[in-house]
Amino acid sequence: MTNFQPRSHSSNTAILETKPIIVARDVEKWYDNGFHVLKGVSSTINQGEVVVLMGPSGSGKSTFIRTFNGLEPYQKGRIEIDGTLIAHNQKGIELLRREVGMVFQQFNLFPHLTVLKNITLGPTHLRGLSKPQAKANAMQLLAKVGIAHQANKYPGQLSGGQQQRVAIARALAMQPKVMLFDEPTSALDPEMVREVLDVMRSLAESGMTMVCVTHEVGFAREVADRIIFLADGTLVADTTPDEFFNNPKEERLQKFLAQILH
Amino acid sequence: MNYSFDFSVVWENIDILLAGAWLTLKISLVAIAFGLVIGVIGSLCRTSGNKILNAITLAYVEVIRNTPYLIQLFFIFFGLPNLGIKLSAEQAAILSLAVNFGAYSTEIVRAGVESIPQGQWEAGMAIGFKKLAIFRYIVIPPALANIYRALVGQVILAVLFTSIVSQIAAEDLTYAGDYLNSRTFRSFEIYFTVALLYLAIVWLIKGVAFLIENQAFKFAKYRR
Ligand SMILES: Nc1ncnc2c1ncn2[C@@H]1O[C@H](COP(=O)(O)OP(=O)(O)OP(=O)(O)O)[C@@H](O)[C@H]1O
Ligand SMILES: [Mg+2]
Repeated sequence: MTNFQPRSHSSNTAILETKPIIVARDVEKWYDNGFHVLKGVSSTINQGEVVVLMGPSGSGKSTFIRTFNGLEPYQKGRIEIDGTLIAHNQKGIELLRREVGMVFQQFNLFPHLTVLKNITLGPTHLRGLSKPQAKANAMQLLAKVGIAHQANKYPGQLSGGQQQRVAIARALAMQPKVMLFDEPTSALDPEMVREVLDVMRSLAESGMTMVCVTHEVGFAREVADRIIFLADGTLVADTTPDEFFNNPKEERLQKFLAQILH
Repeated sequence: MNYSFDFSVVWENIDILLAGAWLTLKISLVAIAFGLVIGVIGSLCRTSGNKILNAITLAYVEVIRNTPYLIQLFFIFFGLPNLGIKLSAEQAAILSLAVNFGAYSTEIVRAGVESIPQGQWEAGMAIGFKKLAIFRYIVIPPALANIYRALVGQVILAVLFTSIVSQIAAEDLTYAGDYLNSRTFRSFEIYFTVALLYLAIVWLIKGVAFLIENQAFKFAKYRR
């Protein structure tokens, strides 16, 4: 069903040049009500890496991932996207956001636009593509996520799984340097989770840099290069899936795994 | 009852009535178009988060919605010339109606804008759009779909409001009726016909509104 361009190298990250795409240093954030949600979180995500973000509910996963495209401003520390700083005051954030794709739990497709127009809206207005160019690209992406035949339907006519695949195509149409996923399968009926994870897996194999908040253990084990574990706004672990699941050292992580794996 | 109906006075003067109806339709459509633009911009100001824009817009809405339209019309037609702004009866009618309809539509469209989930704004921001572009391409179309029926209701009220502009001698349908009535005293026949013509105008506008709804808001059928 899905076939994005394969990586030019083998998927072994060791032989990829390590180029940092997201650099987060001592990121601290307070919500307006004074709640200290991120308490100095640091991490670097390199080109081509697939990083899964896990942690208990309320630990700050969504907040952290949303600082990477400025949907949440932060007050201390620094975040760079491919070398460009996201300023605390968010100056010029729109330009940076074009380089960072995001997929939401609730899909957030535009209900008044057809599937095709959902995808071409950004490229035609922000990337200067002509309508035919944008349409051709969109059709290619739709073929890759397996729903080319739905191009002229409205989002409301599609199933949740199909809508989420359109949302992935919409984000990819901007040719981002990194893709962020915030629980992309949590709002889906169980039988549709697989089709979305398959698309994400194939995207990972194509070499896309990805940061995914997800509770899908199978995906984390098989697709992630690293898993970051957040608890109470603090980064508790940042390690390989094997270490994470089979040899967890931190007590907080052991407790979490006991709850989600039984 | 020994009144004998005589509609011949209507037929003999139908051109006067139709000319009035035409002006009523024209004033209505132009004022509604301007008023809608005011409503969309007003709703933007009301929801922008900019305190000053919000306060100015809210003051406008409050003043217009809590004063009689007739006084607004008199103010524009008789009051503004004192400041050197002199408008024809027709211009004053259109301006006052647009300003009046704009205030009501500001609040109606604002309700539509506020009905759009935050996720739509976030999706637009995540792509890289600025706030104004999100408002225009992403928020306003489904917002209008959500409040369309209420807006059409207000449009019809605006059409009916136009009858008041006869008070400044704008030669609309009501003015034509008054004129004929004062010359023939065939009040029943004349105002009966005038009412029918208003009905026809409102139905025409309703029909157009229905066609627009079917074309522009097709997607709304599929929304859950
Ligand atoms: N706008 C806000 N104002 C105040 N507190 C907030 C706000 N948004 C989130 N929080 C709080 O910040 C904390 C972290 O929220 P966040 O959504 O990042 O957690 P999460 O790890 O994504 O949780 P979940 O797994 O439930 O999605 C939570 O305690 C939440 O209640
Ligand atoms: Mg979350």
